[in-house]
This record gives sequence, structure tokens and C-alpha cells, in this order.
Amino acid sequence: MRRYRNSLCKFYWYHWDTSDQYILFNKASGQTHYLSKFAVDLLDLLRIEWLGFPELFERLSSLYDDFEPDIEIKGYLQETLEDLESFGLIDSQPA
Amino acid sequence: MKLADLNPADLKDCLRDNGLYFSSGPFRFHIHSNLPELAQLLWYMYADYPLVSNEFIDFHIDLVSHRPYWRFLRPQIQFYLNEAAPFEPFPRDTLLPFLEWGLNWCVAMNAHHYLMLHAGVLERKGNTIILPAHPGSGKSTLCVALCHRGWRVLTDEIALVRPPDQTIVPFPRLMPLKNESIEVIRDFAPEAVLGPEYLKTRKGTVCHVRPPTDSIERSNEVGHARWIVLPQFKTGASLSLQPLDKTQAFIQLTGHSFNYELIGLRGFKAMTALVDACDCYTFEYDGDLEQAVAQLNALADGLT
Repeated sequence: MRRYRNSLCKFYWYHWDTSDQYILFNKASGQTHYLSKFAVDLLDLLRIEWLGFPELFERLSSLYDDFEPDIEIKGYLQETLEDLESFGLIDSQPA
Repeated sequence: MKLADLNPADLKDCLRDNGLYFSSGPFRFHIHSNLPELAQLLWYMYADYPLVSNEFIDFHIDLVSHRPYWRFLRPQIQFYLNEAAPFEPFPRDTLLPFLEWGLNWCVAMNAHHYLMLHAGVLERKGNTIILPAHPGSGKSTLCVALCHRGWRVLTDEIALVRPPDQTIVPFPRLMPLKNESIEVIRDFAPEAVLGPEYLKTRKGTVCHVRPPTDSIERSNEVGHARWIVLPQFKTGASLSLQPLDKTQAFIQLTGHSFNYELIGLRGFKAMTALVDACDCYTFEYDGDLEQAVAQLNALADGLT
């Protein structure tokens, strides 16, 4: 499965330095989302090109120390991608 | 000219004939009614509201007897807004609570040029505090207490935030006290002007407090938000004012908005700017209103 940021979305961001969460307003849906830094980084990577799981993993490994392909981290990545897709923020298509 | 400048008999005729035109905050209301008891209620409780001409009226309201065959068992009233009946008829012995609820409903459903929050708003020395709260949190009691200790009340129910500059437009309405808080306020502020007690409402006994005259007379002075404080009355709680993370404050505030989602990007921009401009807190207090007021005064004076 490859993923890409939903091109119909128009994003407006807000973030306070004291907070772990990022606020995203999607003008296309009118919805507000509260995202972790990890989800924000994912959306940023998927803004550029369609990426499959291995490519995403590789790019994230260069962003984070200790981003090892263990089962927990893979599960977390998969879960976050599913959340972003369920919010309508990213699209997916078969590889 | 204020509503209290009419005498109750003239007011009764006025309501029955052409209707009464008055303003509350930025809104102009027209109430027409054949209910004789309404005149005395409005004359006493709306005393300081300015009378206005019949032009540019925002809401035309008719309050008339509803006459089903069983009306002799429990008389009822129908509320019309612009000739449509948005609600079921309501018991005539809850006239004032229902009128208050109805007028607030008119604003909450229509005034989408504002970002609207379910919150009390008060001002002291040019700085404004926003008290967003769910029903039962003691917001109204706290608002009444503060406005009888030197704060100006801009609203007790609907905060009207102007999206371009996040100033808060006053909309001072009657402040409904419920159950035990009625006696608490009678003791705390004997000078407060209270209306009749209504025993049979969905929320138990309700009694309204008239906003102080100064708060209504200064309805054209907008507020500049400085603090967002989420109050929570809790029996036996120690007084506690705790800083709140701004993202959490934003989340809480969207939950207290009537129209944040409806007004889209304007709401997002106004809400983020509003939270950005304010220091945010949670505030737990018990029945000691003097202590609660002292704590918020200290916040306003920069002593916390």
C-alpha cells in the first residue's frame, strides 16, 4: 500500500511551544485535529510523493534516532497511518 | 430611554399593541405579547435595557397563550420567532425562564458573524476574563458574585467573540441561579436584584439576577481577553487555580463553542488567536464565594 497526502485538503496549523500536540484545521472538511509530532512528520513526508511502508520507514529512520524496525514501532506507524487515513488527511492505493 | 422609564401599565399596552422594541448588547429585539403578567416581569427585570426604534430588528418574538382544550389544567404559552414556532408550547408558570432561554437560543442559532462560546465574561481594570463552563459548574453563581464585587459583567451565557480582532462584545442578560445558589447569593450580595423564584423548571428552582446597571450601560465597550479560566464548583474542594496548557485550553474552548465548527476557518483563526492572547487556568472552588472572588481579584491584580 502506498500513501500520499490528500490533495483536496487545505491545512492550517497551530502549535504552542509548551505543548506536545499540534492543531491542524482542514479547511476542506472543516474539521480540527490534534496530532502528535510523529503524525505531523508523516504528513510532511507524504506531502512530497506517494510512499510505501518501507520507504516511509527509511525516511523516518533518518529523522529519528533509534527508529528501529521492531514490531512495536511498525505497529505504531501502521496505526498512525490508519488514523490519518480515517481522518481523510491521506489517501492510499495498492503498491 | 430605558425600559424602566415606561410605567408597567403603558408597557402592558405596548406589548399587546405594537410590541416592545429594546436592545440587549448588539441585538435588537421586538417582543409582542398578550400576556398581562409579562409587563411587570420585564419592567422589573429588563429595567436598564435601552428602548430602540422599530428599525433593523434582529428578532421578532411573539409570546401568546396556547389554547388546547386542556388549557385549564396547565396553561401554556407559544413562542414564535419571525412567525414560526421553533419549540413546543411551554408552561405559563415558567414564563421568564423560558423567555430567557428563548432569547439566548435566537442568538446562539443566528449570530454566526461571532465566534460564540458558552461562557461568562467579566472585565476589571480593562482586562477581561472568560469563564467557559458546562451547566452545573457554578459559572452563573461565580459571575453574579464577581459582578457584585466590582467586575463588569459582559455576559453570563454567550460570549460573542469578534473574529477579526477577538474583542468580546457585551451581551449582558439575566443571570439564572439554580437551587442552593439562590440563597448563597442572597447572603453574599443582598443588593443584587433577584426576580421571582420558579420552582418547577427542568433544572429545579430557578431565579434570575438582573445585571448591574453599569454593565448594561456600558454594553458598547468591548472586552479585551486576558485570561481563560475554566471554573468548576466542587463541594469540599480546596481553592485551586492551576495553569492550563494552551492546547488543552483550545480543546476545552472548542467544546464550549456554539458554532466553532460551523464558521470554519474564521473560527479556527479566532480561537487560536484568543487562546494565544490569554493566560489559561483551571479553577476549582467550593461554596466560599468571598475566597473565590479574592483569588480571581489576585489574578487580575497580577498577584498570582
